[in-house]
Amino acid sequence: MKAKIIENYILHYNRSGKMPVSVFAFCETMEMNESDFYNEFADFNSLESQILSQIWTDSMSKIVGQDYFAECTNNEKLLAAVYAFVENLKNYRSYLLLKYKDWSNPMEQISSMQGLKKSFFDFLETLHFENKTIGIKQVDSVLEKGMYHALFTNLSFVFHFWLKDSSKGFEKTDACIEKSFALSFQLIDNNSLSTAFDFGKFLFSNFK
Amino acid sequence: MKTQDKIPSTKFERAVKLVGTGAKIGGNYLKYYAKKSITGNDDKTDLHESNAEDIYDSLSNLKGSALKVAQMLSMDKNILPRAYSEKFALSQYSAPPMSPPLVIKAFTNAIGKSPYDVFDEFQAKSLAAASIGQVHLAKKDGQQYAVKIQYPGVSDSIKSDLKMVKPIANAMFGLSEKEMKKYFQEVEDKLIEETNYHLELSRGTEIAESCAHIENIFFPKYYKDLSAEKVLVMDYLEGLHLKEYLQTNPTQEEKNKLAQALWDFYEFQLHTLKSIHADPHPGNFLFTDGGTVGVIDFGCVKEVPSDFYYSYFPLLLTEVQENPVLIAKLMKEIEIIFPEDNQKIIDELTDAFVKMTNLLSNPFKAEKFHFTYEYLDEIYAVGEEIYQIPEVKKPTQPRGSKHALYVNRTYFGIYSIMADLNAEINTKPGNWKNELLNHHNLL
Repeated sequence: MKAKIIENYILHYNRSGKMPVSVFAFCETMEMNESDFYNEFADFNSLESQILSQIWTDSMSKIVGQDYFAECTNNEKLLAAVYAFVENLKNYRSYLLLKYKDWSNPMEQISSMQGLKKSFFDFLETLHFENKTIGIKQVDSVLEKGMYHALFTNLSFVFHFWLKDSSKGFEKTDACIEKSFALSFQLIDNNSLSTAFDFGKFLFSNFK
Repeated sequence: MKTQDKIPSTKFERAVKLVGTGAKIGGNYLKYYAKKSITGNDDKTDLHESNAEDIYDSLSNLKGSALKVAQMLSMDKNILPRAYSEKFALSQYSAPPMSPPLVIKAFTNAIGKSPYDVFDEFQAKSLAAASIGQVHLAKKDGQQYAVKIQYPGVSDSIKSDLKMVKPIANAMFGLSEKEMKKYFQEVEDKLIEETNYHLELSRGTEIAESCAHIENIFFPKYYKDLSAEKVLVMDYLEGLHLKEYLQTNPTQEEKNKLAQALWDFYEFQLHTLKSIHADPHPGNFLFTDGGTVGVIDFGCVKEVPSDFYYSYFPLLLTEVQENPVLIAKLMKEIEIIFPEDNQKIIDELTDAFVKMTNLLSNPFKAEKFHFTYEYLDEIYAVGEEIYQIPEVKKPTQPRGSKHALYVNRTYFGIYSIMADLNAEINTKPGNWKNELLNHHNLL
């Protein structure tokens, strides 16, 4: 049901360029009860915030079972996931361009990426990255979060790059993924996050 | 393969890298002049070595066209002092690889099926870097295939990469932007051609067909149905790179057999097909212990225009070298001498050029020729000497046809492989000699 509602919503948005006037009107075109809509989403905003996340989970279901995926290292798995995601984004490009191209409200942008962020973090959990730890549980968990946030920033950077990409087959986005994640992995491997934390701790304790 | 501890990722970072190199080279020159003024020592070996090191360090951190230019410069051993070329030779083997997920994606996008569906086995880790792409091994029904996959976006980055290499190349050759322009255009055009694998497939297939009669040389078969603009599938050829092959201590007889095969192959391409495989870097030849050699990579093929052919190659013939009137005419046609040049420049350049071609044409003067390192060193020495001529060192205008660029590079590459093989082979010119003489009414 959820997928079907999203599909119809995108259809509507692509044709009209705006949200339906009401949940009622939307449900009427779908010949469904308004209450069925609320079983999945509170309103159109919450629906929108789940579109990217839905695209992400769809993409994951396509790659996770593959033989090849099982043999990948963690970094490669993450790259494979991002490539699959960007590939899948193509199916929704019209909607995403309408929605994200001329973004004026950063708060709105952040909120509509929340769903994706959650799915992305769930995915990272499954990878069990070997963190550079410093041995204090609470601190390590902050560091892990820091790494997740850094990788998500990278993902949203790629997403926005893709929106503006006009190269054939979006091959520049592929290059962008390859290069930007190579840099992210390097930063993570180099322990820069714990270094940053260490520096932050120093500042905090010395310049209150 | 030495892994890189850092891959420059943005254009900005690449630019910074290259600017850094420029600065370092500047520093090396300063050191050289300081040392020279104190000790009076004019030995440039140290200088060349430190320059080569700095340039190599910077270029080997780049991928794509910059790597290509490094390869190209390293082939021109004749222009470059030894230290440069040895360092650069390293760059011919390694570039940072694409990640396996990208490889699979690029293949799937191009062919419409995943490599795992097309082949029984597919190695997502690459065998070798091919400057604008990389090569993967695949198997199907017991047969091995080489799958070449292009780096995404490489064709777009060629222009910007070349722009960044320009200042370095200018500094290295002491040439101005203007002087280099027509040559850079030629390099750029060739690089862009190289990104089109359809073209490589048809050229590779054509050359293989027309050269099928040449003994001891073999080519991969290309598979059109499995190839696209950015993916190329061909037979995987067994064989060793020259350096590895020589380490197996082959007999001189076998080495001569291989050298003869290569020589005949290039003679036929140049004088009959008028179109040559113009990338004679060591990774493109696979030597087998049966005395046969496999040739791969037809991405860089130079079509030799007829005008240029009839003006340039006669200079290799003794009959022409002894004919000053004809030489004067040909020197103009190949854009080394211009009508506005004064007599001093004309004489200097003509003498130098004739001296060089005379030396280069030694193989064509006898039935058999023995390629040795002494012979190569002699060529380098004359090259150094020519470089001391002010009009060559700091030319007032671009001299030399752009077509000569790839032709020279190819032949210097071949001469150098011949010397590595210590080859003594049959080099007597075929029908082309009479044809050229006839063309200039010298028969």
